[in-house]
Amino acid sequence: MEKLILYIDPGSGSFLFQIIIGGILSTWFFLKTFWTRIKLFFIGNNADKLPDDNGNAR
Amino acid sequence: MVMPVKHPASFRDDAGYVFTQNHILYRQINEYYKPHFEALINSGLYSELTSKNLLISHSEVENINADAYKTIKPEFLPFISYPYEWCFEQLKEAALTTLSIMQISLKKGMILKDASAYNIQFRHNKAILIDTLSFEIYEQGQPWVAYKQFCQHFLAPLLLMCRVDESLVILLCGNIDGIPLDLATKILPFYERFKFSSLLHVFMHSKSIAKNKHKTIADVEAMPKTKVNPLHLISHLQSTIEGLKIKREMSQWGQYYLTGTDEAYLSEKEALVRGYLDKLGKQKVIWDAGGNNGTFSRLFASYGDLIICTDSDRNSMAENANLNKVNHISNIVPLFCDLANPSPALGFMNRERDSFLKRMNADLIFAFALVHHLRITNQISFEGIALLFASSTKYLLIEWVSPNDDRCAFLLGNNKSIKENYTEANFTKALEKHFTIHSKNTLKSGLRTLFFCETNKNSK
Repeated sequence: MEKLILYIDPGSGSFLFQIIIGGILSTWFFLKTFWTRIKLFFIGNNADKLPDDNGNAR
Repeated sequence: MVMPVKHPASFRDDAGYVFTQNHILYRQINEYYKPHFEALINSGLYSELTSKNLLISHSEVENINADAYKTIKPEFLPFISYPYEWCFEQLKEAALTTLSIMQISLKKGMILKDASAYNIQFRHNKAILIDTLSFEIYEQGQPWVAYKQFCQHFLAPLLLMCRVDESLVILLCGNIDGIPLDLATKILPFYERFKFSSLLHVFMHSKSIAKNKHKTIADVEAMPKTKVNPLHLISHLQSTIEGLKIKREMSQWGQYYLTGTDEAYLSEKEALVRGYLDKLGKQKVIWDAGGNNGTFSRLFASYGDLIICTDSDRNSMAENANLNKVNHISNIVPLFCDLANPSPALGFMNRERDSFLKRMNADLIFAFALVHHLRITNQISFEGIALLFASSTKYLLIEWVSPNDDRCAFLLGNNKSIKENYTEANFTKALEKHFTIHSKNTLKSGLRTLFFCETNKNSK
């Protein structure tokens, strides 16, 4: 049987790229949150201003 | 009954399309989009976004076409501008607004399936999304479908404007779906690849698109299934764009009003114009052509519902936008327009994006201290100048600058051919071909004259 080669949409390269960089961005996000916590510790304890795990302000 | 006319730009989305009937704009929603539209309304996302002035509001009306699931009538915007007519700060605000909408949407279990800069407009000094059908239900763990589009429409142009030259936004004119990332990588300076955000979202992203171009569906299915959190991506894009800034100096026109013009002239001109405008009453759309940093737009802002202040200097536009915010004036939109080369019609059949002049249907035009620039610098005939304005307005307030005026004399220099032709009589003759001159007032200096005209019916 003839094998069909179906090419993906050109935009899908961007889709795959997001999967690849997902880990890098999660690490960046963790470090950013961590750094914000350190800053808040010295500036004043204002934990309400920290983003939650989804990046939303509390 | 007047037949509905589908908007020529509204053909890319299966969710619905925009059409007009009796000059009223509607948006049809197709059956296919029903679950997404219901989620938009029922999740509270629509009410949250409209209450925050991030999404245009609409009212539901009776279906006009038989195949519609629903028909909505969005709030009317009197003028649509395009991203290549914005300055850096405006495009940046549009980008950040898109990301804010995406963040709020994710909280409600939806995403933006489109991140087109053309879906953003400026209303009351604020960027707002005008495409109600841009949302779709989000499948947890999936990447953001509009990431590439966002980078092409916003990030790449902003980086080019910031790092190379602000005028490079004009590349959007030749690329209807945003600046291709591989093109951006060729223009951006070499050092840009050492910046983490640019390396990631532009250089590596572009490489990945090129590398995966020939992947088959089978290849993709064979890849490990990793879930992603788009909020981390959105948050990173937000930090990246917030960090982009253009260092601006006061525009040449800002300095012009500070040092180059005497106060007596300005106050005399203001009083004269106010007199005309008091008689005319409030207008819907005023076009302040060559309005520099918007000094006159702001002075007469209360005489129009909307004032489009155009200039060919983006520094002036940025200054204008900033001054409007500082002074809490919300009905002035600064836009880029080179009157000798206004934005052309673009896209499929040249009908997706209308030319600037086709979109401009003003009730009144201000053309202050402009004639000498158009006639001498751009070498446009008086007749051409009159025709340009006659095709775009009902009323015109235009200022004649005498050849004995210092600025005009400087421009005229030794140009003998234009010098001979540059007379008030020739200017008046050209105006009278398209306008009825209602009044004419020469300022005390004798060097400048204001003409108040109405477009002849056969000239529009």
